[in-house]
Amino acid sequence: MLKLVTHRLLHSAILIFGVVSVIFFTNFVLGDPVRVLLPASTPQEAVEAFRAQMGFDRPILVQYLDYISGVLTGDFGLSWWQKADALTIAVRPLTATLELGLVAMLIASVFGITIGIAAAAKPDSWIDRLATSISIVGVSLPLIWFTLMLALVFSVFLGWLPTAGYGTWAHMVLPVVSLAALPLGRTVQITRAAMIDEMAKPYITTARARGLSERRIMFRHALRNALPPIVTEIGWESAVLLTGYTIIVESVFGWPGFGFASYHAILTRDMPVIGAMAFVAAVIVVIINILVDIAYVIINPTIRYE
Amino acid sequence: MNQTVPSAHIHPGRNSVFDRAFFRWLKAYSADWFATAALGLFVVIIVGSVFANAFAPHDPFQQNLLMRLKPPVGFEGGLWRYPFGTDLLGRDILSRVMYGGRWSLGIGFAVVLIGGAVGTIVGLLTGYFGGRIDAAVMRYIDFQTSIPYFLLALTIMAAIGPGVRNLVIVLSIGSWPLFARFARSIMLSLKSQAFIEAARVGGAKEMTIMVRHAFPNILSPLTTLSTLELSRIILSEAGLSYLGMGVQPPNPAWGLMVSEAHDYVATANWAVTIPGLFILLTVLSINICANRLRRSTDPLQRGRA
Amino acid sequence: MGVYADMAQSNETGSMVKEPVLSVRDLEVEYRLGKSTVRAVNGLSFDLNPGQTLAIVGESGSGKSASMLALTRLIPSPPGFVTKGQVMFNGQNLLSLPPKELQKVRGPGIAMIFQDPMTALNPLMKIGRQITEGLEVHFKLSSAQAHKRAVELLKMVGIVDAEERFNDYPIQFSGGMRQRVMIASAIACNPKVLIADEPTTALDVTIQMQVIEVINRLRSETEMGVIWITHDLGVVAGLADKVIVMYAGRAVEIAAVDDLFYRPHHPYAMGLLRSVPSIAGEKRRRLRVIEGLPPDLTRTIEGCPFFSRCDKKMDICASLMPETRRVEISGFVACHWDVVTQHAVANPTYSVEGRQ
Repeated sequence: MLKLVTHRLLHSAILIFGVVSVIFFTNFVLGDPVRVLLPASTPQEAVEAFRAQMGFDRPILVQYLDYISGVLTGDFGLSWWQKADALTIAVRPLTATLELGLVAMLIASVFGITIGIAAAAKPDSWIDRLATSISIVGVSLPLIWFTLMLALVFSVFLGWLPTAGYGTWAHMVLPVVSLAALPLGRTVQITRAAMIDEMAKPYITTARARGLSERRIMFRHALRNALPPIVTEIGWESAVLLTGYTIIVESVFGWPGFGFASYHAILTRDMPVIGAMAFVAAVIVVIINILVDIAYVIINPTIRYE
Repeated sequence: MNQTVPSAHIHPGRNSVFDRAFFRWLKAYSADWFATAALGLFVVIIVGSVFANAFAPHDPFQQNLLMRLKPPVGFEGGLWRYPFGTDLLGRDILSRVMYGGRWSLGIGFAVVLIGGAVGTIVGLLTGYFGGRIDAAVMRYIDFQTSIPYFLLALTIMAAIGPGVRNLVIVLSIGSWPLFARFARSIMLSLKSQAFIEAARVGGAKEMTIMVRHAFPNILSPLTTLSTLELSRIILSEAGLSYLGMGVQPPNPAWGLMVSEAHDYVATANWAVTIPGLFILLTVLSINICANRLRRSTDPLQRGRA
Repeated sequence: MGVYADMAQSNETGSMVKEPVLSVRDLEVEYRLGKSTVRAVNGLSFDLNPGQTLAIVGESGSGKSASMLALTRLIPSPPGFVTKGQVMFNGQNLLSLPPKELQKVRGPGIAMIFQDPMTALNPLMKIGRQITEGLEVHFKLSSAQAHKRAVELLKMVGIVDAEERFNDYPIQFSGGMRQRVMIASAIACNPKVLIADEPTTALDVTIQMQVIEVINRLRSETEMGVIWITHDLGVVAGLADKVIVMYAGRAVEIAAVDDLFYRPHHPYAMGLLRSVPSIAGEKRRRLRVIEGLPPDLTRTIEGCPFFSRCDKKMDICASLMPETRRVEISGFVACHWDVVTQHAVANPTYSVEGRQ
């Protein structure tokens, strides 16, 4: 158990460190920060002077070590454009994104697991076919299009919900629905497959031989055993949602969250903020992984004995 | 007495495995009209894109400011000359969708081909030889696949500059680990199987073993994986192009078309709806085919996803 | 059906006439895999009396397990289907019972112990729960009452520190201990019939004996009928009253245990016995020693399914499935060859399709 925890912590540290390093090198080796910061017409001498002033003329490894030592103390530098601490800029919009993300994942998980179980209860029945259709459409939806269609229908045509903004529950409905569609489809697929797998195992026959009802067998016996892959999937989808889908959805609905902010930072090539954002995203992934691990132990207490 | 003794040891020759995979594939489709329809749709979209220069009614770049924002046929003001309507610059949306398919599908196929080839080769090699390099590669793959790739891809694209070549590179980097992991697992299970041993004892060269046995065995599940990956890549490409980090204007990629029409969606929703619908239909038809393929590989698993 | 009526009336050696607790007639089970159909069980009929131990022997694929799963419709469907037959228990035909009623029979009526204790217990449920669950469902016991009874049961099957181990998970038990838990959970509701599907195969020899002892003791205490599926003739000799020898989905011989061991009538049964070095059995062997392979059950078999491997085969065997006929006091055999006269049966009545 202790070994597992240390292994996980080490893995997490390397993951965060790796992401930050990749972002640093892509920005400083593959791209030239000076070109971003200065207008194209700047005279060559001024460019070189600026380069020296910012320390961009030092060997890349020195710059890297300098950057990393800053990162270790939580100092990602100042935003190039906003003159504020980069980490603060990266962390501030997290609450808005977590509001959306948690509600969307809650909806996707609850409905996804329920529909998946209903489908697995009777494979090849009409419920199963409906569930399979829902899940295939769900995972095939282009987010950019689905989001715009929702806005078009419910805001522009019907006028039921606001097109963009932040603050009330009405503002949340469309972004949440957009974000939930894909994870919902995946959760249905995974739940269905895991439940059908479990229901074919010998211990289910034993449970049937004890005279238990099918409902009891599914919920008291099969579901718990089917949960690990489902939890893995929900964890992964949460990570993808928070660090990926939100970029598109928050941009469309003007939601002042992490996705919106990171897209803005990327567009303006605000290197310190991009670095801090990548760090925050990696930390989100690590936290989700740890939560998934904890869930494994709760689902299967015998992990301790293995 | 009608009695057969099952042959315990059937050596899968190269042709028989190819035949079986193809036969299985064909059978899957003749059995399910829905999957057949999906495959048909996908073929139509591919043909329409590949032969866009022959079938497209207009030049996709040709602007006609007199014909701006014409709605599709069936709506007020719609013209048969522009069945799907026109965009802000008066360009024919049908023609742009057809040419756009070249970008969206082309990038998808290119990435699956590059990522698939690199990943499969790496996976087969590391799986076959094992050792420290295998462990290191797998450790790297574990790390890469534990990070959601979209934000990273967006950042890298912004740093190295948007464009189709860079897009294909970045998406391929995101795609190969899946193939490598998969090919490695197949290789490992093949390695432990008796017929490879038999071939080795028979004096066959190691590379011959890999090509003769591994590749045919890997082909059918690889098709399923590639199909799923293709749909995922098309969605990623649409997302990146939409955010301005992929295909650049005036080229008509579907994601980019949605992005360009985004600003006037309230006045000309068809300019968003139609290219987006084509992304959906393409990905949907691919996913339906993949789902059917997966089910058809094992008759006992009919009920399973 | 005449021969089966005889069978039902037939007196078991040494015991008095009893009403059978379970009575199976002409059971047929198919597995449908894609386009091919495997006829796993083909016209199985037998009776089980209270307190009696019936052994079913045969090699793997002979339809032993499939037939027993089919009795309480536990056979996974698809691919398995019960296509014909009657399973009478407590005045009801289990094969036509609605699911809710059938669930009341499973457990308190007919209980089962499965072959592999490593996979047959729910890995994520405390072993105590796996015993109390049935008690709560069938007897509406409170959880405290069920807990008390479960601890008693665990002690009964030889788990000494039952109270402490109640909250353990299966992974914390050895194979033998898990099989005891299985037995405890199977007998929890005092079943009238206990079906044990090779319960000792996965265990080592000393534990095998203990498990056998536990079940035997319970049988004599509670008068439950026991069906013991096995391919271990040593086990059969040690505890069975009656034996069914199955081959290719058919009961080729049904006999009292002593008759089978001293005067086997079917060439397959003879072959099985020859493969065991000594009936007393210091050393047991598995049965796979008869030359050849069982027939492909996806094809329709004309004639006797044992034909190709039989050392007594005659011309008639290739084309006609032998009718089941009475032998000894209470036995039945399906063979053209008469072990007493050492030649073909005189005036045989043959069924053309090989079954009734």
